[in-house]
Amino acid sequence: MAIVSMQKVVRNYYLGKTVVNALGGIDLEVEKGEFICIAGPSGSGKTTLLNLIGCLDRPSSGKVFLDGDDVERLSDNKLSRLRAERIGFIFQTFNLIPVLSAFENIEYPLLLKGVPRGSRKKKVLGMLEEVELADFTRHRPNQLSGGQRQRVAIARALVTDPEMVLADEPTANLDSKTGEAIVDLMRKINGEMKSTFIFSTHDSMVMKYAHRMIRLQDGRII
Amino acid sequence: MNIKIAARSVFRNKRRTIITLLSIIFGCVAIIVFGGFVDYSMWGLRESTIHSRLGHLQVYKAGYSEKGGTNPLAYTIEDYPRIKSIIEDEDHVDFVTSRLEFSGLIGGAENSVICVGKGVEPEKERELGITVSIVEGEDLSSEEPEEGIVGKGLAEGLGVSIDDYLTILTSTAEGALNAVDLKLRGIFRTGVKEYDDVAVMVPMELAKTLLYTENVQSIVVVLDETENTDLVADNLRKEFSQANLDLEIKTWSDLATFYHQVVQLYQGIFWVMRLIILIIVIFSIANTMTMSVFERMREIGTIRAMGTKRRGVLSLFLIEGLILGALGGALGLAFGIIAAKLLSIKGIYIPPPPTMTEGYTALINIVPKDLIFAFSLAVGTSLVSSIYPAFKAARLKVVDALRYI
Repeated sequence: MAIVSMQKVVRNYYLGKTVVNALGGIDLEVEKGEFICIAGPSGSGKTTLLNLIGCLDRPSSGKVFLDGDDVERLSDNKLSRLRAERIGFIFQTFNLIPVLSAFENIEYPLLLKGVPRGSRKKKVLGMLEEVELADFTRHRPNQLSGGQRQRVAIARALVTDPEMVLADEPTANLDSKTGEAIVDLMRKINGEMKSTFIFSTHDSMVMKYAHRMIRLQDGRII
Repeated sequence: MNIKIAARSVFRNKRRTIITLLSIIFGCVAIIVFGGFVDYSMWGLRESTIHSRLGHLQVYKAGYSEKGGTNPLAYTIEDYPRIKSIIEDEDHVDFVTSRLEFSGLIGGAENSVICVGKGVEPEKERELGITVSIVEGEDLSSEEPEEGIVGKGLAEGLGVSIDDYLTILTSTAEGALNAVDLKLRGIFRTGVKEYDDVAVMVPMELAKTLLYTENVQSIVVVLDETENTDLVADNLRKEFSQANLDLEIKTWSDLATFYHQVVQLYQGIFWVMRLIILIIVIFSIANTMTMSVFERMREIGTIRAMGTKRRGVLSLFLIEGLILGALGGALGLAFGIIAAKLLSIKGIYIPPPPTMTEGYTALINIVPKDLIFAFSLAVGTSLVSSIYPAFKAARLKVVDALRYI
């Protein structure tokens, strides 16, 4: 069964009285373990699509199924729990919590999941090792470079062993070399952990790593 | 983790946190200092009321307080020595003295005016009276039973000076007119102008001669501590009824109407002040917390995306408010106590209150009740004023919060 299934998904925004049609009828199936790139110019609906897959937003019409469950039927609390347990997020602007250290940032989703202290520590240290930041445990985000921050963010997204990782332009705020390294890391983890990766980008250098490309334009898949 | 994030976020914007803390500290200090000042002033007023006029307890013949006003001499106490020894046997009693009051006319060389007089035991009264200050001449003495003292206003009204002779005219217990002469020994001031304008004090013996009686009118009991007033009053009531004495006891509190009015007035003012402080603190914290929510929109979006529930976000901001309040409250207590101690080193000069002729130097008492109130106010208002911003943060749509710039 597809991990994500979207049927005729439409998402409209209202700016005052004008209706902005961000997504205009998307049909999409994503299988487990895929490494998918959503490409398209800015304003094409990449973020909106990722938000809908990540249960951060609800469609104006159409259906979104995760593992066969209709997302529309779930309450806010159930969606929160689903996100905590099954989805990892990576953001363009890293979005680390500034007052927490690298270790604590990665630990945060494990706390939400209720993982006991001992295994929490083991997992976080393992992830720091994996993203090659073992020496930066106590560093706060403002003491890390952009690439290091994004690696912490990746570690944070992956520490709960999510079925699916969603990354919205993960390389846009990084120089091309660091960006490539980040995608390389995502790719490696995808191979090792079999997590499904869906990321958006408009950087052609990054696109080449994808198994499958989904091109968006004006809210439609082309 | 929420507590960790909240605690660290409090200090993320140091300047804002410090300004918020200052307003909480200011509120606490104001409450502690003003409360301590009121407490000291009320204590001072209470003790001066007790020691200048009332004593802790007054004993009268039964019925005096109800009907004695029109005919005081019909309600006098016989057998004072026996009653005195009963009272003196009681614990906590410091000393006992008697009074015999009268009113009449007092005349000097030039004119006569109405006076309110009191026969007292001079040495005992001196022990009692800390605010009857002699401004000219000397105080009463039982060794000079024919010399009396008058209030400053009365002496000025009569145009008399020390060693002049005065005549007091009044009616005796039987209703006959009687007059005695006295030599002016001293002029005093109590601080209460109305009283000083009519007051005369003479030794007990002279008053007894004037009124042609061996009885006394009231027995004034002074205790070791004001706190023991009710205890001793209750014990004495039992003793008197056992000894078949037809007496009534009034405590200073029963008699001090003025004191109670002043206490009420001050407490009213104090509550208004507390309310103003409360509002200042609420606005200050609500402002800080709302700013904090706006500043951390994206952070809120992020933790919500990761799966933090709405109530997790709510509690994050409530905890932050609580930390601010507790910290501000603790610092407020410390600064409040320091301020109270510092102000008490020199004291604050207070000009004469209405009806008084003398000011006083106030100290600041440290009142545990006010400390508790100040701290609870800090924590309580911080929590209450964090509720709206916390709700606002919790109700944010995740996508909007993530998009917020």
